[in-house]
Amino acid sequence: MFKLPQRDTKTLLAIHGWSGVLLGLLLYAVICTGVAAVFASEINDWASPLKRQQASAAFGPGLDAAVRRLAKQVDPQFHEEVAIYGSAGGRVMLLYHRHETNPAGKPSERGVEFELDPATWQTIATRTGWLEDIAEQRRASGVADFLVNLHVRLHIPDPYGLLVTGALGLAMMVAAVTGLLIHRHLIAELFTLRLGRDPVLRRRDLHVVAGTWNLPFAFVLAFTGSFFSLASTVGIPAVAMVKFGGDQEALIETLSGPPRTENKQAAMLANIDAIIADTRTRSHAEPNFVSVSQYGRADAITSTFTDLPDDTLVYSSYVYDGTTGAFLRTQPPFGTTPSIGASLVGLMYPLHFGNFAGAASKAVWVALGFAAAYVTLTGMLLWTRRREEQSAWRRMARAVHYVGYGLPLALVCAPYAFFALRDSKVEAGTSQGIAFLAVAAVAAVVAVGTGNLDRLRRRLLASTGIAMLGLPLMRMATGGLGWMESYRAGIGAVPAVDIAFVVAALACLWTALRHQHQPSKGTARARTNTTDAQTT
Amino acid sequence: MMPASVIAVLISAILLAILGRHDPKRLRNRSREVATGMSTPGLTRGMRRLLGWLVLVPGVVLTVIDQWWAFLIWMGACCALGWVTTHLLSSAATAENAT
Repeated sequence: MFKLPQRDTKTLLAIHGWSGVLLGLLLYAVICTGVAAVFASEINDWASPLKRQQASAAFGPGLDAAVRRLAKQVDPQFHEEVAIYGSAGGRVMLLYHRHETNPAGKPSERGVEFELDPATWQTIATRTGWLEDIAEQRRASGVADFLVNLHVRLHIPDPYGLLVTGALGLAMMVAAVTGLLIHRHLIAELFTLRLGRDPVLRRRDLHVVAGTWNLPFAFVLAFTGSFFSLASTVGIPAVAMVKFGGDQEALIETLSGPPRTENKQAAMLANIDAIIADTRTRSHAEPNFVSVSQYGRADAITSTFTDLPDDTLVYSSYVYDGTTGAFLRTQPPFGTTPSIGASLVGLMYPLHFGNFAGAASKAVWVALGFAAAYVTLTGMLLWTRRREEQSAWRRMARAVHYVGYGLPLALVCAPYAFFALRDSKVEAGTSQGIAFLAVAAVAAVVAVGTGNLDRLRRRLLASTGIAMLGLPLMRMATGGLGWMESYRAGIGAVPAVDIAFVVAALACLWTALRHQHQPSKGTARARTNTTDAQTT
Repeated sequence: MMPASVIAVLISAILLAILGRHDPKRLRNRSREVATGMSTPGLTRGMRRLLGWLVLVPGVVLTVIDQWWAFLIWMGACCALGWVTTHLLSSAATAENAT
């Protein structure tokens, strides 16, 4: 497609390969967990459903009374802000909190979180402390939280985890752009996949074809992912440093509009149910997050956020007077007035999460994410196999097989610990982390002990398939809803995710057990044609 | 929105399948078929170009009628289906060669 001089092509090929092979294993982990995280809310509904008919709306009638009732139970210092949001199985969370500097010297929130049943508004669980501690105590959303944490920060403490994933996103962008530039026959080879030929040629085609079809989305996902990782760790501090003398609060105030004039007089809160109903009318969408700042004071502000309305890709939030309930303004995702920049920032969310059109868009995003993971893995396999004459690269090829096929196995085994210990006092993240590491360690032993890499691949894939088949059984055996129960309760996520696991398990088992193609007659000829120049 | 996405994806998927089935480079690599004279007839260069542009038409229509959700689904689905189509065609060819 692009005809570059051979020397430039070789340089770009080196950049493409090294950017992939150096960071590829971590990038692969980020992509794999990202694929699963697309269905995070469905996974939570599957793992921790409430055993009754799910409400059609996230915030049904009675929320206002619950907010008022629980506000009386918490220390008034935590009335500084109330965050209201949905969680696993339709649960509603109320977090009464204040903004403080945590013991580590970083801005954080401290307060009390109530987990409520939306049908009765009774409290299921109460958690107190710093936001980080509260998040660790959450049980219902434990399975998806573990995946999302791995995807967003690789379980590395902030800000380092975000910096690492941001760098990985940049590496993916470099690989996508250099891949585009070095592939001279991008269009001509769109359908060229020589599966029966020489193994190296086959691997090359598998990588190139998947990469070519996935190219636009690889770039989009890498760019938006880097944006989310680096905006808070680098972008905001950098802009605050340059423009506001390092005062990040001043920067955020500029972006979100000036706060209301302070008025500490006590005042009745406007009816939240009515505000939510008004937001539904204005947005034609379902609210998913409500924030009440300065609860119980005359300067209270209520902000509502919604799912994306039909045929809209950029969300807006709605700001109300917290005491009268009067609508004040529509707030764009960035800044105080609509702008191209605000739209571009708003566009990042649906483009990265793929959650703009329900299950349909999520399914497409999962397919694209799977393709991205496939490109990363086949790229690393191609790079290491081409250099397998050197012992260091042979060891690297083994590491790539171990991570490539062992990581999905460890990810699938982690929820076993969640289900087994969900009624214990062990935190969901801790139990899953231990199970993940234990399975990773066993897989490492298997990787070292299996001489043939293809046999290693088959063993790990077959194990993943068996683990996937067992997961729905484990869920049911530990008190999870059966299919009939979930059908009666209208909880579609339970059978849907079970079926998805069974289908994925069969795919893994089929891939692991199927007959390996023998190189065909064209092998010898193909071998002679297989040079690095072909990659271009 | 969803019907528009489904129709657009279907049209482009069919065109992609035709393009893939008659792709000249893919056909050249099916050595056994060529040897036995059972090759799938290729399309003329002009026809392939026309089909290639026609694949994009549903997406253009969706943007013109301001269906951005549907456009994104169409674009993502086309990329995923193009990849799957390539695999299916190559797997079928490999299986034929093996028999």
